[in-house]
Amino acid sequence: MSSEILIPRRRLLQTSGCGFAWLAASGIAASSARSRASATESRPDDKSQSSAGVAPGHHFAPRAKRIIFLFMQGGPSHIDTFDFKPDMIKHDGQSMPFDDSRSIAKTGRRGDLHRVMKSPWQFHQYGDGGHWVSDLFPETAKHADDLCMIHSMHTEGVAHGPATLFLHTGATNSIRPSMGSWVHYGLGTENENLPGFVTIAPPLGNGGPRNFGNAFLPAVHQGTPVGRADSRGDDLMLRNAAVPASEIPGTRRRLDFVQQLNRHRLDAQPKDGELDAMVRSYELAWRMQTHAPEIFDVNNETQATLDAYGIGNGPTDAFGKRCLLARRLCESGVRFIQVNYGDNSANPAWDQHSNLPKHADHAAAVDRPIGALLQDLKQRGLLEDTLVWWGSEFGRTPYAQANGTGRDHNPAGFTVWLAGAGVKPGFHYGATDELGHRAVTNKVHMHDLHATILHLMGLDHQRLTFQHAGRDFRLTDVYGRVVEDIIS
Amino acid sequence: MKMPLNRSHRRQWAITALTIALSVALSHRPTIAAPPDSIDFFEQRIRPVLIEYCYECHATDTQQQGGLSLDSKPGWQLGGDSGPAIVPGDAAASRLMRVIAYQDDELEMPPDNKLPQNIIDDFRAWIAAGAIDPRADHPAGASKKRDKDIDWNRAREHWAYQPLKQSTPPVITATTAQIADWPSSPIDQFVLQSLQSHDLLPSERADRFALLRRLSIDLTGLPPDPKSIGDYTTASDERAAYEQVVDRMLSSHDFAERFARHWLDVARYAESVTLRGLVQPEAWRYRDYVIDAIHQDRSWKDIFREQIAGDLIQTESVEAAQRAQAAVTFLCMGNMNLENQQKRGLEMDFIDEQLDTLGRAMLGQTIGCARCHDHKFDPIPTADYYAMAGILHGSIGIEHSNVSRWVEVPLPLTDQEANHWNSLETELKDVTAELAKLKKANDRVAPPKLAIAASSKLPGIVVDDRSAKRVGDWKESEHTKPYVDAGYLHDLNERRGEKSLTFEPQELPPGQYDVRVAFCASENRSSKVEFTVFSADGETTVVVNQRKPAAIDGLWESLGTFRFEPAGQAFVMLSNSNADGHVIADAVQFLPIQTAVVAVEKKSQQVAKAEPIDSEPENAQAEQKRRLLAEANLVARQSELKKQLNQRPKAMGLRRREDAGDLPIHVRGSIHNLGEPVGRGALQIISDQLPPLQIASDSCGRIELADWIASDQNPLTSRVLVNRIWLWVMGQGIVRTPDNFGTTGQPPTHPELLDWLTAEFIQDDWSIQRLVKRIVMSSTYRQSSRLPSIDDPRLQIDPDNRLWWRSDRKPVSAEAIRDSVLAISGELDGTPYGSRIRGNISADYGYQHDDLIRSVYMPVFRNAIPDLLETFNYTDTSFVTGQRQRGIVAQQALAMLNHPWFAKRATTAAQRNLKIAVRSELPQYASDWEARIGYAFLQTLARHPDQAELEAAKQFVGDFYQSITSSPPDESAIDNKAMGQSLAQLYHGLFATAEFRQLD
Repeated sequence: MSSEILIPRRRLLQTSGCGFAWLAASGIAASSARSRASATESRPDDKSQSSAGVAPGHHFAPRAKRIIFLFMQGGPSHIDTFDFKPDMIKHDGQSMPFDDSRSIAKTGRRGDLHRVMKSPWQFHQYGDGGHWVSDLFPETAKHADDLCMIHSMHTEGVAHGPATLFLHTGATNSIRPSMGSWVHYGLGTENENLPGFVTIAPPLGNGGPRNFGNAFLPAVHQGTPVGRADSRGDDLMLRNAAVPASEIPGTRRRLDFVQQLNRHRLDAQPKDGELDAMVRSYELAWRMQTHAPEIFDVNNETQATLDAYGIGNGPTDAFGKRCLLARRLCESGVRFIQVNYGDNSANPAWDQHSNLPKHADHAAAVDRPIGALLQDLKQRGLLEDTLVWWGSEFGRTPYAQANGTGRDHNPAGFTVWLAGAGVKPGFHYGATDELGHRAVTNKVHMHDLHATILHLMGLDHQRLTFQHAGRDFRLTDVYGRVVEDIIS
Repeated sequence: MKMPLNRSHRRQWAITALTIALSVALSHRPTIAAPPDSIDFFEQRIRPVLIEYCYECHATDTQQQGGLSLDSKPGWQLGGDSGPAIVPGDAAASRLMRVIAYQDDELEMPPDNKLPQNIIDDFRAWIAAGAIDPRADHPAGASKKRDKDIDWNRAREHWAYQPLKQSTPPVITATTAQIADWPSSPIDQFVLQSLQSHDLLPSERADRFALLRRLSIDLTGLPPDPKSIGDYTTASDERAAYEQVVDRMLSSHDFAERFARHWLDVARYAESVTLRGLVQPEAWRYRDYVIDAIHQDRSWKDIFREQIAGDLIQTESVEAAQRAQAAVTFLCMGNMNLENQQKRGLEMDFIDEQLDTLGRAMLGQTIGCARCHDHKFDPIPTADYYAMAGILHGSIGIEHSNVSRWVEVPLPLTDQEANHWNSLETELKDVTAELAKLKKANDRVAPPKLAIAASSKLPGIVVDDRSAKRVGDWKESEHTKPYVDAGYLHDLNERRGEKSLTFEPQELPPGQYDVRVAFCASENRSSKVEFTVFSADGETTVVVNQRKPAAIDGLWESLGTFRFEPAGQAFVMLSNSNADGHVIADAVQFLPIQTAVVAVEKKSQQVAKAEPIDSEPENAQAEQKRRLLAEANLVARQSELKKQLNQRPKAMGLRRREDAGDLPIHVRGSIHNLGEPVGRGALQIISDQLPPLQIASDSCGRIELADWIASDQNPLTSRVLVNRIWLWVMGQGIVRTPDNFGTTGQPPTHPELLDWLTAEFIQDDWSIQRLVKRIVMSSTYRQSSRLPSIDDPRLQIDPDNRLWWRSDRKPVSAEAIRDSVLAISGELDGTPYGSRIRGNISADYGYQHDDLIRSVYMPVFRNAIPDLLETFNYTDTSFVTGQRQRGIVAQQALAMLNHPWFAKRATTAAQRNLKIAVRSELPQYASDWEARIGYAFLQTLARHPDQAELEAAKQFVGDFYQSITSSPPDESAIDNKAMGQSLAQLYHGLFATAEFRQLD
């Protein structure tokens, strides 16, 4: 396959020049140039052919231009954070029958006896909407009137790996594009000097790169990882874009030489679109290299801002830097930003099978930066067109695991919250049962959440498809519904 | 967890405004109830609910989700995919009842909110009373059609399902001498004919430099070296020289490595799975198998057979048997979710993955699409899927535990080797038996009088009961010795199932540990105390009998060996659930595995050395010592034997399933919804062209399936493979959807050519080398890839080059970029074969790859694909990948410009360049340093620079040189160090050029 083969001729003519068309197809150019029609025009069958798949663009007016997803890895307990269940106090210590998801998956057994364990934290009501929030999240609670809580989440997968993949890709097996890739495929980027889908400090485990992978979508839609999960937040930089100042002139000379040869080659064959795209990719690389260090350096902020995010010392330092970077990327037009709070183990961060009080350590690390991020976005007017999504792969059980001091995984009921563009502020939707075990009212499946978020971005989850291996794929498979009730 | 029925219902339910519906339904409720066996009851209590909650998805004119409609009596009588929804008179047996009561594992309806209890009760009463339903004659129920029938005759008309057509190369009517001379192979006659029919002409022949580079990268993945460039470009008989080069390359190991990688893409080859990053240490045998098979130019008919059933095939030699065994790894490399707790579902997913891979890789058919329903586009009914799945189900590829695991089988061995291992195995058996006997005797001997063990003096990490987290009331006691530190805890033999203790070390360095628990035994204890170990491999519960003295020193009992990872969970929980006596908790010890082995030996030695016990006669003491020493020796030998036996060569493979047989159709892919069994077999659409697939009564059918697929008569297998090989050489297939020869794929651009090549391929006994030679010797391959000017008619008429009027300008693959750079710097470690995984690792996270080995040998870890490969459109290791993506992204440019790996290679390449007597090799250059520049061009781009390029390079190198030495390069006094640095810049630049990444 060569040059124009990637783009049927008529599409070539629709755009302003072959090189530019190639760039559009490669996803390098700004999204504004994307032609909507072309995606449906040809139905290439496999991935190589499909690299011609020019992104579909908005299906309808978007409410949000970009997303910041605050991923709390390991399963923070909803009933100890945002889903207040006073009945747990009443039943504390009692053995009661529960339909435990793990037992059901393993043996089909229901109604095992488990000992209810009340939350060790106090809950208070905040804001005009009266959201209940536990003492784990006092800073986030200050923004209660911005939050739209979904208390009736449920999902697939009892173990971290499958559930984490499901959260990110809509499938518990490991071969689907991640949500960020779908959004990028749908909408492209707002800033051609930066990647459009960035994941900050992604964990290595539980799906690892699959959680930001493009799978069968064209490679340009893959997430760009920045920093490692186990670092202190001092490695937040695009790969291969950080060049010591002393080496920059040398790099520039090398680039000039390379481009001199490239253009010489292109002059002889101006119709080679692939070659033209390469030439442009070098220009873009240089722009990225020039702009990225500035954007990625959170120390450019005022001391007051650094303090607000808890950057400098203490438990908030690492996550604070990541949240602040998220705001900076958001400001620079990155479409999908994921901020990870997790680690590289198989039983990560919030996974308190024993010693539930350890939740306090994690909350102490994330609460203040999250509060600061919401405040910062609001102040800068960014919250109007940015959707913030806080959540995990599942929640936790209201009973003590094996009568111990922790809680087991719970995919049957948990809470996520959204804030900002397009969602009802100070609103809560759905409910779990009286002990917070299973979602029972206005249940929202993870597929439904995906559909809703795509909707807020102006994408119809049923139409955002990509043909691969003989059939159309989409993030929500054959499921998903938009939860209209939470949309403002 | 797969819940297809469940979820597909949910979507539709969304549309209903539930809260409103609920109030409407409730307001319809009359105050005085009719009896449940009356029509009134149905009309008042049941029908309104059905309308409000169910019709949206379960009516004839709506969705009939799950095949179920509830708008007529026949609707629920016939039921959905899983049979009748209601059994009149028996609410408990009615699926509808379970589903609305949210008591079904698969399905809860309505999906968003459970119906109010009184409505559920109404339904139960109504069904119990006979499910009176007056809506008898709704037209929908009776006329419901389940599956569309396949029109087989029409379906067979699709080109790929037709037998190979006899095709002869067309005779060309030459209009010019140029045309008359052009064809050099029958391939060219086919190509030229189609070009002529469009009034087009082929391109001129590629120049020798470009052609040699193309050939070299295409066939070996490495650039030609300057000497071979010189030889070929100056050869007087170009055609003979070209053929010589082709033959040399085809017989090289590089060719096998390059082409094996193409097939490994198709086979979704990898050496670990994504979830948990579990490393599959034997997968490399499959990689080596493919390389060796291509190097030996074995028949692909055999290679295909072996990949499906190599473990079942009779072979002539041990080597052949080993080879065939390794080949079956093909069926075992799926990227599975081994944590799936639903193990039957996992098994079906495993088979699905095998079938999907096998279908697309070998038959170009998307069989996986027929798992849940008949294929929407192709003539593949669900019955075909389960006919083939039944065959694969006859073998076990996954062994189950909390985290399941792939199967490893011993590699077939020579008698001599086998004897060696067998004797070790026999010895181990004997040692184990002997040890058990001795232990029994020794255990009767009173352990050394251990009263109170101090945790500070114990090896490993000890968590005493006093630092355990308690749930419930635990009584501290010092009543019975021995114990660790200050006494122990017991549960007062009360409140069973409500007490627990958690032993969690403050810090546990990652690694393997023997986990032990301490307790003092007594008759009043529980005989089944449940300890649960939380480790990197999940949760493992071990039941301990506390009535019998603990095995180790009368104090410790081992729970087994466990792996703990950095920051991962590491604790032991003890519960008094299911206890039948006092539950004792004293301490938990995490003993690093090495320490544990040493400890056993030490203990035996200590006891043996112990002072004679006065009360016993001396000879008894001596006997006891002797036995203990013997035990120590046996323990050591046992551990050594186990270690040795672990080295016994094995391969990923399959085991026979005893209850093999036909599989039922899984309706909508669900393991809970089984239909009729399907006789094992293969695709019906081409079955008339092949001998019937008859499965012997004692066979799982895999070998029969292998023969059916790898058959000269199978119209798909050979065509699909020939198309792949064409693609691997030419850059594009004759069928441009190489993994899909179904109706949604693209038809061949040159069907006669494809059939002719396939017939020749079969004639050549499925030899890849002969086919590749056929292709590269053609004029079609040897055309220039140059793009003509914009107004050239060929660009207007056929911009996609489907007619092959020029050679495709291909991207250089990630491996070829990396390997070429290494070859140029002289650092390529081309050692063939063998496992290349460094260190004894179990998870692939953060694996540090070797910088210098040939790319095909770098372990393919799904969580640790090397940056340099991943950035340049590496394959998707979870999927059959017939053709890689061609994305061009800025990250590639960034890597080329700034990744330190390239800078290092450039430095080494420059050093190497400086050692060459370059003037004698390249006398055409004006100066030594110009010649060095020319040499760098030859190495990297396989050609000389033109004048403009030479000037640009001289400027670039000269400037850099001057920036170091403050003077331009002067032939009489070159500063070698500065020139080395300057040439390094040049190499780095040349590596980064677009041309280096493109193949003209």
